Amino acid sequence: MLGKLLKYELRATGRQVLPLCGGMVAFALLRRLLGLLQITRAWPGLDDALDSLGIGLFVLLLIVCTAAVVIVLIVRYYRNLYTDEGYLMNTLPVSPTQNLLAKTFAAVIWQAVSVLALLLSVFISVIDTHIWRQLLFGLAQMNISLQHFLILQQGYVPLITIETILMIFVGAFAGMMQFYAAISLGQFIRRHRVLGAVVFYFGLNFAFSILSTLVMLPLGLIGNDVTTLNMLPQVLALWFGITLLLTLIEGIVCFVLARWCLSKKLELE
Amino acid sequence: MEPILECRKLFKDYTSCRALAGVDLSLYPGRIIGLLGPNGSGKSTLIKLAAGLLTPTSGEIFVAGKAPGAATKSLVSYLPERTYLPDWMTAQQVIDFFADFYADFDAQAAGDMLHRLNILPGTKLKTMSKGTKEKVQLILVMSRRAQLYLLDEPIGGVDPAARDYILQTILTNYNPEAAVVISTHLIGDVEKVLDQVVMLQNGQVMLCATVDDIRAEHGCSVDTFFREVFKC
Amino acid sequence: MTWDLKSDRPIYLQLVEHLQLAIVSGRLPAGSRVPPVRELASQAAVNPNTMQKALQELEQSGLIQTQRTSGRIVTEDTDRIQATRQQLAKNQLDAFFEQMQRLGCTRHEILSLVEKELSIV
Repeated sequence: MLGKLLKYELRATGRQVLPLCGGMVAFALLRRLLGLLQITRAWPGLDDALDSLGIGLFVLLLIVCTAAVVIVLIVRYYRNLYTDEGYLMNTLPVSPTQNLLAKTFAAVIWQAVSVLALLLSVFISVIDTHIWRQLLFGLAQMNISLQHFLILQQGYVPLITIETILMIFVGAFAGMMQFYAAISLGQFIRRHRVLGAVVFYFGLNFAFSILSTLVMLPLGLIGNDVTTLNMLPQVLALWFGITLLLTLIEGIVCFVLARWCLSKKLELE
Repeated sequence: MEPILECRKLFKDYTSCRALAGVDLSLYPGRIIGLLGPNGSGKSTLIKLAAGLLTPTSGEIFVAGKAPGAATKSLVSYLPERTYLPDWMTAQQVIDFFADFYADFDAQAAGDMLHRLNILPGTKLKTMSKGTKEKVQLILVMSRRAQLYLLDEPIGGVDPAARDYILQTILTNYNPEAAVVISTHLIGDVEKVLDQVVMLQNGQVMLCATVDDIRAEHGCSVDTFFREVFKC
Repeated sequence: MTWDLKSDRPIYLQLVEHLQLAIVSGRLPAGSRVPPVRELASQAAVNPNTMQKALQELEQSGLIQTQRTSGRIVTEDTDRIQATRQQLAKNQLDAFFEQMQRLGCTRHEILSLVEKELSIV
């Protein structure tokens, strides 16, 4: 059942997400093409201005599209479970957990896709330009400094890399989960469900910030100790690991909250 | 015989009112039951509770002996008052959707009914009129071989010809092992199709009897009787 | 045959009457197959259980018989059908006489009125 739910979830949201991602890549290709054709030469004097405009629009588009993907996913959750379509979804022979998981998986997948599309668009824009050469140079420098710095602790580089990649996924999961929980909790405020969702969102944010601060404080204090400078890679890995764990816990707490709302407190009117 | 739907001292409160005030009811398979009552008497609420869309304030509700959940939802075919299908899908896609999730869905029958109504499978729901969308929903619900059909005001805002079509569809899909619950306030058309009626008033069961018993006892149609009882 | 069902009398009684009429008038000939319950119910736009009840009543009165393999058939007992026909005719006459008496007609008046009507027809 979960597989089927996921399939429909991807199909329903893909209709809006894929064009957005496609748009980013298409615009990057277009810009690159126009750049290669040096089309701005047609209006000498406005050269630089048009160039800057192009870059400005491009960056704006990237921001808008990435944000739009997140908005599509949030609106989907609300509309599919709590409005007219909710009469369909909540009477399917599936548990609320399955419904929730399907949406969560789809959300993480689409967010990953939108990030990839973003990277691809930037890649298309800058490859083989002077920016690209600068970037490669910068990366090489950073690599040398990093290696020099970690010469004694080389084993930690892969760990931190893994943790970074995991962080992207866990972050996407927890971030979306927070929206879902807020929307579901907002349903309790009968007459102002949307406002309720906003209030709960900030409430959850606040609660988790306090939690993080409380946990990270002791770590920060340790960091001031001079001896830890020699153990920096370990501390870094630890810090990363704890942030990862905290984010994961936030995501799980929000999941449990959303699930509780959907199974015990569903009130579709 | 086990009741297919059972309510015991069922209460449902909303923030502003009490929708169900202690409902005790047992409905058995093989019957077509009319759930009658004026607006606000709790018909929709009772149906939604059975469908698992609401949770009781107190008391119990059982479908085939179990509390509403994923297991009962596979036995229940629910037709809400509103259009609840995703607009972007085509008629065929919705049929496939139902076939995917419901093991008891008869896709062949659904396709035939669509064909008889001259609805092309490739038509998007978005482009259909409200009446056509409602017919598609009815076809989907009646193409399930469920044990309990819950139809919430299926003939409400519909023209008389469509009303006849709906009642005919219900009769032709009649299954002696299933129960069909039809909530309506338009009794006249539906009366002959019903075995028994349950009349709700102010969230309580006022009467539960067969149509013929009411006619025999009161010498008038259930419709007339209803008007008498609920005279303003 | 159109099923004209009134709203103030129990449905199953009206179904019984309708079927009796069909049988005695020959529309459902003796020995012919009775359509299945679902089909009849659908035709009449009534609940199948109600139709079933009506058919069972006709079975009890002997106008319909259930055969193990081929469902229900109208009885071949033409005497029984005749008897039912007579009964139904008598019911009509009883109702007629009661009405006429309420109009204040005497027996002589009734007879002459009937003869006059029959000579025209």
